[in-house]
Amino acid sequence: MPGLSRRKFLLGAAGAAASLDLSQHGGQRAHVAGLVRAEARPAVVVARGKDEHSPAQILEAALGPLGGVAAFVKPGQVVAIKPNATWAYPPHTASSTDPDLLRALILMVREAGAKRIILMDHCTLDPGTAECLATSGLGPVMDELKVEQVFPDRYLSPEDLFTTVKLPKGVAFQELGVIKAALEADVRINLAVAKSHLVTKLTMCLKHMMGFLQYPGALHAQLEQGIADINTESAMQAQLHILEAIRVRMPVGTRTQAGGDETEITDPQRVKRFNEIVAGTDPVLIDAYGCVNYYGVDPQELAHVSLAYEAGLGEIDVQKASESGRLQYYIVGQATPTPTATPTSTSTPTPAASPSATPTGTQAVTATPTVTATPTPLPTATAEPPTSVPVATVAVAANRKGEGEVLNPNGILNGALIPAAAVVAGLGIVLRHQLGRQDRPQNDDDGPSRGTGAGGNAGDSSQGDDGESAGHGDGR
Amino acid sequence: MAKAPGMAMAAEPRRTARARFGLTDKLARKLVQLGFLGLFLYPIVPVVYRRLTFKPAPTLTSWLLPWDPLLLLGQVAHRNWPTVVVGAPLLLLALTLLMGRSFCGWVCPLGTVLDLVRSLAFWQRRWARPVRRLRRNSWARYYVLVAVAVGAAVSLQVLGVLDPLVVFQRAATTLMADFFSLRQPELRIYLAAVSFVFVAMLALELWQPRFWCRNLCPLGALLSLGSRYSLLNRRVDERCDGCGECARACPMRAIPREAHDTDYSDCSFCLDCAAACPKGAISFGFGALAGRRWQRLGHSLKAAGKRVIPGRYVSAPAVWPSRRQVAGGIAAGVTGLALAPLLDLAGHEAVIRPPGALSEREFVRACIICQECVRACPTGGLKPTLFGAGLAGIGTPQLVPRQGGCSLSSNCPQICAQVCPVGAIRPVSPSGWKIGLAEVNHHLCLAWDQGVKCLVCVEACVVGAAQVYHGRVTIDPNKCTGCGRCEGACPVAGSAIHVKPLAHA
Repeated sequence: MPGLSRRKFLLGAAGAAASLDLSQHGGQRAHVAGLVRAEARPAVVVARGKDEHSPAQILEAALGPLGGVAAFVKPGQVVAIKPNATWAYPPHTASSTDPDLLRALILMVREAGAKRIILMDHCTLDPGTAECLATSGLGPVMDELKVEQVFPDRYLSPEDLFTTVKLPKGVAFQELGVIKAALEADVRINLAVAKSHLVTKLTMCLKHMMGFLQYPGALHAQLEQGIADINTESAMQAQLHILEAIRVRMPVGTRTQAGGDETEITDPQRVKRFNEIVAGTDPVLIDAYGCVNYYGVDPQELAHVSLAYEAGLGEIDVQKASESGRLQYYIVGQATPTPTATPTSTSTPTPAASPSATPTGTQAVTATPTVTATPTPLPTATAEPPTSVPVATVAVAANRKGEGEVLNPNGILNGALIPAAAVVAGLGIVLRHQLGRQDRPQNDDDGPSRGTGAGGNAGDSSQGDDGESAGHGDGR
Repeated sequence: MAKAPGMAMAAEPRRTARARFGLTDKLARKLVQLGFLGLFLYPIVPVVYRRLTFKPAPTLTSWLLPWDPLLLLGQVAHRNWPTVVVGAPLLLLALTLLMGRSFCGWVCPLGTVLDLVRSLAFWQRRWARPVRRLRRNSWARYYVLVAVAVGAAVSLQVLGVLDPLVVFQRAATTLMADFFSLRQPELRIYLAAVSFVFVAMLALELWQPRFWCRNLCPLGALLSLGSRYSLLNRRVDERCDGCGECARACPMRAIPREAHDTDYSDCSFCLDCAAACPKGAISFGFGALAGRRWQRLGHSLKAAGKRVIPGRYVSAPAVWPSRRQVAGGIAAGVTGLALAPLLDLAGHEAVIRPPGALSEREFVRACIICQECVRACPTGGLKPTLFGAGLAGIGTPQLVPRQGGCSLSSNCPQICAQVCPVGAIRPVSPSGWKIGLAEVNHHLCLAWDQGVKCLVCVEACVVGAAQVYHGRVTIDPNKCTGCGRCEGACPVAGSAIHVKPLAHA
C-alpha cells in the first residue's frame, strides 16, 4: 500500500500547516520529475484530495505531473497571478479564490525564483475591491506575503493602469484594454474558480481571463465570442491555467419566467465539496472537464467553450483526452496516474472522497461516453449549504467594518467646548475689566508724561530703550 | 569710559535684532497658518488613499465646518438641531474677546490661501500707495453678514455660497478629491460650477491685499463684533516717527492715518506691521487698549536727529452705526430674504438626489454645497449639479450613475448622511429607500435590439429589480431603488438603461 503510507505522511504534514510544507513539496517534485521522464507530459492534470487535505497539497499534486511551477516559471521572471477577487463573500462560499490556495501558489512561484509576483484582478461590482479583498480573505494573504497588487476598482482606476493588447486572431474583438502589469509579466497564471454564470451558464478558466480586461463589461456585447477571442494567441494569453474546484458553487434551479435555463443563477450558500484542482495549459479541456464533472453539462452546449474549441484553442472531448493521456487524473498522495483515469471513472466522484456526492455526479458519468449525442440538462441544486451562518450577513458585516467607519469629532466639538467657550468669554470680560481699572488712572497721568518724557530725553538712546521696555510693562 | 561706545554699539544691534525678531514672528505665523491648512485638508487624505490604493480607510468628516460660527448662526435660523455643533463656534467667538481677529490671520485656511496667492502678486509691492490714498475698509461685510444671517431663515444656500470656510471646503474638495477620482472629462465644468466664488476671491486678492477679508467676508464681520473689545492689542512706542510703513504693509488696512491707532475690528494680528517698521517701534501684548485712541499732544519734535510724536492713549467713544448704515443693514436683510425665492424662480428639472435627501425644495434650501457628500461618496457617484437643478441647485449633489451607483443597499452605511454638516441628507433604512427608477431604452439595449445575451444590468442589480423575461431585460418598478448600478455597468456607449428621477419616472 504505497499510497496509504504516503497519505499518512501527508496527513502528518498537514497537521502542522495551513501554509505549504516546503520540504515535502520538494520531495514530491523530485519524485514526479522521474515519472515525467518516463512518459509524455500531460496537458491537463486533475488532482483529487479529501476533505482533510489542504488546498496546498491538492495544488501540489496537480502541478507535480506538469513539472511543478518550475516548468512554467524560470528564475528571474516576472509572474502575474490572477485570482478570482470580484465578489465580497467569505471563502467558504467559493465565490472567490481560496486564500489558502493563493498563499500556496504564491509561495511555489516564489520558490521557483520569480523576480516579481504581481497579483491582479478587475473588480467591477459593488462593493468594490477593498471590501472584496478584505471579505474574501485574499487581501490579508497578499499583504502578508508582500506581493505586488494591481486591483482596479469598478472602472474608477486611472487610465495609466491599463494599456491595449492586440488580438490578431480575434473574431469579435481585435484590440482590447488590459491591465498593463499583465503584459509586463513574463508568465501569467490564471487561477480560476468553477462557478455558474448568468449568461455563459458556467464560468471556469476561459471566462476567468476577463479579469485582465480594462472594461470587462464591454465584452458582454458579444460575450461568448469575446471570451474565445481573449484566449487566442496574444500577449495576454496565460501560460498556466488552474481551476479551483475544492468547493464549487452549484446552480439553484431555473427562473421559469426567464425562458428556460439560460439565466441559471447561483447561490453562494449552495456549495459542494469536490476537493479537486485542475491545472494545465489547455483551458478548453479544463473547462470541458469541469462541465462534465461538476455540473454534468455537455461542454459543446456552452457557446464560449465550443467557440474556443472551434478556434483551435484546445481539446473539448474529455474522453478522448483522457485516453490519449492529455488529461491525467491523480489522487493526492499517489504519485502515479490512478488506474481509474478512464472517462467513466474520471467523472465518478469517488464515494470515499466525497461522501456528499449527488446523483447528478453519477448521471454525468453515464452521460460522458455519449456526451455529444445526449446533452444533459443542467442539474438542479441538491447540495446542502456548507454552514448555517447566513452568507449575506457574514459578507455585509465584514464590509461594514471596512468602509462604514465615519469618524466624526462633532460630538466633542459640540458638548465639551461649550463650557470652554463660556470660560474664555468670562475670562475676556473679567480681564478687560481688571486691566482697564488697573492702568486707567496710571495711564491717564503717566502715559503722556512718559511719551513726552521719552521724547525729551531721547538724546540718550539707551534711555529711550529703557522707556520703551518700561512702557511694555505698563501696557501689560 | 567703556560704557559710552558700548551704549553706542548697543543701540544699533538692538534695533536690527528687533527687526529680525519681527521677521521671525512673521515666519512663525506662516508655519502656524500652513499647519492649520494641513489640518483642515487632512480629512481628504483617507479618501485619496482609498481611491488610489483601493484599500479600506475610514471616512473623516470635515474638521473645519464644525468651527464655523456663521454656520451655527444659519442653522439656528434654519432649526437643524440634530446636526448643529454649538461648542466649537461659540469658543471661536469667545476667543475674539481675547485675541480679536487672530483667527483671520493665523487659522482661517482661506486666509492662508489668499496670503500664498498674494505672495505671487509682485505688482502690489511695487505699486504700494502712499498712506493717505489707502481707502478705509467698507461696511459692506456687515451688510453681507446681515443678508446671510437673515436669508438663512429661508435658505442656507446664500450662506453656503459666501461663507469663507465653506468656500474653502468646497474648493479644496473639488480640486483634490475629485481630481483623484479621475475618469472625469467634465471635471473642469464641475470646478467652474462650484468654485466661482473662490476664483473671484483669488482675483480680488491679486487686485488688493485681503480685499475679501476686509470688505466682504461675513465671517470676518461676525468676528469683528467681538474683536472691538480684544485684549490682545498693538502698541506703538515713542520711536515712531510716523513714516507710514506699517500702514502700507498692513494687509487688513487696520492702521488709519494716525499710525499709533489700530482698528481692532480689522486687525488680524499678522505682525506684518512689526516686521515692516524700520524703527522697531511696534509691539503686541495684552491689555485694555482696544477702546482707546491715540491723542497727539502738540507738534512733533526733533530731538537728537529723531522725529518724535508726543501723545497718549485716551478713551475713545463707542462707535455706533449711523442711521444710514442701519438703513443699509435693513436693506441687506431684505435682500437676503428675497434672494432664495428669487433663485428658486428659475425653473429646473429634477435630478437624482442621494438617498435620504430632504424633499427637493427643502433640500436646495438646506444644502450649503460644501461638497462633503461628494468627497465622501465611496463609489464616486455623487457629483455636483451644474444647471440641471436650476440656479439654486448649482453645486448641490446629484447621483451620476455613469460615474458610480449608490451602494446603500449593499454595504454603504450612508456615508453621505453621516458627513452632511447641515442635515440636508438624513439617515434612512437601507431597505426602504428609492431615489429613482431605471428605464431600459429598447432601441439601444443589446438584449432588446440585437437579442444578445448581455444581461450585465441583471448581474449588477442587487435588489433583483432588473430581470430577464424571454431574453429581454425588464425592470420591476416596485423593487428598483434607482441606485443606478445597472446604468453604470451597461456596456452600451452612453448606457441603454437610465435612472430617471422620481419626479419624472
